[in-house]
Amino acid sequence: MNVTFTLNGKSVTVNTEPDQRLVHILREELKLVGTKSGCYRGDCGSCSVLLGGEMVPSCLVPAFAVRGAEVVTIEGFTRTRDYADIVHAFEEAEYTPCGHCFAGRVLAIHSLLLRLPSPSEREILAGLSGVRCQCADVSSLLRAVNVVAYSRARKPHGRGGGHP
Amino acid sequence: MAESLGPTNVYTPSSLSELLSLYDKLPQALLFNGGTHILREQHGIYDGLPANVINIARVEDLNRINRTERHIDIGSAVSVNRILDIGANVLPRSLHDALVAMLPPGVRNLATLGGNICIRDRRRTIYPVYLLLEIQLELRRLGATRWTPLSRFAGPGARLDLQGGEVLTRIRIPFSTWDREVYRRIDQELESPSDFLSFCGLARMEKNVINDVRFAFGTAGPIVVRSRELENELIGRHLPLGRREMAPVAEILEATLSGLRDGLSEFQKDRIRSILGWFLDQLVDE
Repeated sequence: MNVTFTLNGKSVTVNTEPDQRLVHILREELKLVGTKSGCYRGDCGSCSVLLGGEMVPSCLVPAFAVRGAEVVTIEGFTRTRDYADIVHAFEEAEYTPCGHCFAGRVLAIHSLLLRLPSPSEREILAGLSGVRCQCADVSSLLRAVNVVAYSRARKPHGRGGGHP
Repeated sequence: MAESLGPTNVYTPSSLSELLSLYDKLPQALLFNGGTHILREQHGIYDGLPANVINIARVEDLNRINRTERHIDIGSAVSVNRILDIGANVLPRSLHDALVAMLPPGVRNLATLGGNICIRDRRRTIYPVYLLLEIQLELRRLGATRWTPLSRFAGPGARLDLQGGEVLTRIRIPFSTWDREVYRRIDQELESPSDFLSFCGLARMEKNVINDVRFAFGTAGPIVVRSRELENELIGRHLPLGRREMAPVAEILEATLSGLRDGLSEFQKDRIRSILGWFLDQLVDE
């Protein structure tokens, strides 16, 4: 079965089973291993991608649901200005996520700030609760999110809030 | 649009009329939207989907939200995050809190109320909220439409009142004003199903007198604990309740808990007693 969709800005077609999960299509058929496989229940967040602009766990998306849709993985997201903001904030806040949760954290922060440009601490914790990993401390994560929010608030494209 | 995709045929209607015609011809087909319940319960790579699947995610009529002064109608395919985007000031507080608690943020972009309500083998964590808010459901099949209250749609046990070819199309949430609205979720449903509880409590108060009260508990299975007798016993009472006033309340609660057909663990019963006491404490104005 052929499934055609837009992946990181380009049209791709894969031949797969209709019930194959997107996480496996990305990792095994398209060799995009930045998206990690984990719990298969959407709880850990390590397989997160953007589907139609919204963050979803790719382990809960079957192939047939992707046809005609737009998917952005961490590999595609790294080419955006929004990614640069986030990585810079990680450095500034000395926040170092591990390889397993990196994609999930980045996309979760991006999705959170699209919805809430100036989130409170509680909103940050709630918004990032879908990425479960014990690799780094919460305080540096909070700092990182606030740095991104603040830097976006200062940019001419008008996004953001945050507290420096 | 229908395609044969190998062992599973997947159909993707774009309109409600197309969906109803298809489902009339294929009443055994699996209706699939977010698929979060289906796929979360299946941990493997291959999910064993049935021969026919109807992907309803792109049916426009099922993705609408309409609001009036009296109620809000939510299409059965609207994602939970889109519902939350309506705003905490518009949605009933208990519903808003329950939706936030029910799933991780990313999964909420896939999950739908329609899918949640139509899970056949158990009442989910948010069921007490649906029950107490008295939500109504629109069910449609080719040539027929009906509205039914949730309490009748999802009756005792695991049965759903769905006739052949019927699709849940809209969920109507009436607006009502409560002085207190509380939702709590205790434990994790999937990790600790035997201990899990959800609770919803609504109350109208005036100078610490209960004018109206509703409360219900949900479990990981089909059991829902609600006692109208207990609610009626509390109406008109002045809080906080003294020991003598608590006695008939406790008696009705114990009769309710011991009268449950499938039973609860003693731990869950203790939790219910504690949560009810906590809820009544919350209603007292300092």
